[in-house]
Amino acid sequence: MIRYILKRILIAIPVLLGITLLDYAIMSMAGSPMEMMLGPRVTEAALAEKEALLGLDQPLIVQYFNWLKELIQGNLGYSIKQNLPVASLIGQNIGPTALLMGVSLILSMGLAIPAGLHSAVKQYSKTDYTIVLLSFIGTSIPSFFLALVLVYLFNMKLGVLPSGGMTTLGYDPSIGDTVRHMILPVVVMVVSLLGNNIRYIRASMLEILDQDYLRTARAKGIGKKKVIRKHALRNALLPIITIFGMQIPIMFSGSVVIEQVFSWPGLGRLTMDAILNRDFPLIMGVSLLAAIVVLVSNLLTDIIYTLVDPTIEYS
Amino acid sequence: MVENTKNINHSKDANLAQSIADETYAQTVYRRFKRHRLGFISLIFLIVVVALIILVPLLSPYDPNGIVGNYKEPPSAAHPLGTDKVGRDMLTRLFAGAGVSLFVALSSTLISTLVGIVLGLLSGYFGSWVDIFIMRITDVVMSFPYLLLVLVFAAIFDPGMWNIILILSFVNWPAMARLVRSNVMAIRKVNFVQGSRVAGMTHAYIMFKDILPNAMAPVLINASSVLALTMLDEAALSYLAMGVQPPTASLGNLLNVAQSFSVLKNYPWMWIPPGVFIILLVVAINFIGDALRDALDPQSQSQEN
Repeated sequence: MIRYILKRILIAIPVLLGITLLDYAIMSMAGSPMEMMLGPRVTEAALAEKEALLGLDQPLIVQYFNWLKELIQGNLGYSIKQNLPVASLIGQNIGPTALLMGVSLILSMGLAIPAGLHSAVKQYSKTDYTIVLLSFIGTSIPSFFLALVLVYLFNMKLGVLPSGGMTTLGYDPSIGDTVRHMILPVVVMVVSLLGNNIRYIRASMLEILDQDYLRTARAKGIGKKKVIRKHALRNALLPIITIFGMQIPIMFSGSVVIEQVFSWPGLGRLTMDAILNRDFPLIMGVSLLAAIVVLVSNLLTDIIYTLVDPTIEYS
Repeated sequence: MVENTKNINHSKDANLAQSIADETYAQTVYRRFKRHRLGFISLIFLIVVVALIILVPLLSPYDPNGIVGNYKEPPSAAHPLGTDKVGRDMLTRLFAGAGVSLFVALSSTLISTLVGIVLGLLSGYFGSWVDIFIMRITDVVMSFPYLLLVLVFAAIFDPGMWNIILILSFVNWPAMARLVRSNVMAIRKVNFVQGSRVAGMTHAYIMFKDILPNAMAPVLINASSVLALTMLDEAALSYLAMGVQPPTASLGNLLNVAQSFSVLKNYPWMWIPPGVFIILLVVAINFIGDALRDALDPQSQSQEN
């Protein structure tokens, strides 16, 4: 098993290099950082001098390794628009995003696990049909449109919830105020995650219920409820772990749109602003970070999987 | 979804049993598809929508991109869905936009599916370093959060319809390639494929004539969910002004005006119809995909994607 885990880590290394390579390639496609600085006050000659100083006249591959060396030391470059280190900008904005994602993850799993399991155990029942139908509709709603409808209803028509931001301007920040600001973005994020999660858990549970060992358990006559509690639920842990791993990239994507609509002061909004301003060092810094987080979470999912499931093949 | 297909063999009517025995594969698929009621209704809905997308711009007295009335006019007999903020007819733009959105989603799904099939076949069939190389590329692309990658490319290559099609294809092929690969690996050891190899058939023949047809069912099912996803992605991108650019309408960029709170509050006819239209189309595509899953692969009806 340790060999398998080591092998998984070894496979992740070329992928990590590939991520930095793609990230660097995208940044190079975006244009040279010199052009981005070029303005009326900077002459071509001064630029050429600066280019040599920064090593940008060297071959691309050398530049890539220079960049990689800086990267390992935690230097993600400077934001063009805000003139601040990318790493510190990310640091300032990561908190609200982590809060939004964390609460949404807990709520969506808290709803999806019972719904999916119930739906599978009571397959073909009315509740099953309803849950599956709702999950289909949930996955078909664009999250930005749901956000607009919610703002329209709860802010503009009913006036009960704020339309955006994380705190009310001019008031002392309080937990209650932040919670009120969180309700709508969290609802949108949860809806966008819920449908797929329910269907995934339902499908995995149906597969488990169809296994021979469960048929044996039922044949022994120990009662349907006990079979599900004792045997099936324990095995449903595996698909649930898988889902946790799958959520992270989906939530990253979701946060870009949701934070934009709700002016939530997090990483997603920072990224969208950077994209609209074509602030490439910042965009690529965030992308790189996100890709590494996704890679690591996939790796962790695989490792936890092998720890939980004794029957998995370690080849 | 939850359609029960287990009673196929319990038909008491001998004639029916005979006609089922005689039917072609396509007829079987169609018969099973029809039994998924929501899927069948969705198919009819989609056909009607496509007809309207073709007919409305032809029959409408208005040019979808032309200023034809007062601006911000509420729905009336002349403009059933009102006009937008510069005075273009919303109904004409809605169907023109739906056409553009469907075209973007269909072309991008087609491209990513074709690329995914070819690379997945190569990967699964040849194995070894070809497989390792292609799979690591899919790992790299899939590590980036999907929408982030799309937005970054849109920022670099300038948003626009064709660029969006290519960008969405680029982020969608890896999942398809992996799906094809896993199916190919299961099929390539089967006797008839081995037989072809012994008979000296070319690799291309074995891949495309022997293996591919047997892997088509999961490919089609997956393509339907990619289609639904690309519809949603085009909408999100265009809403964020990084997708299809005005004056060309798409369902997403029609919603772009709702970024302004005064539009959101005072002119609901400008943003509710395109939003509802997107939901209806995506729901329909998802149900069709689900019916397709039941029809093509009855054993896997309980499985996800």
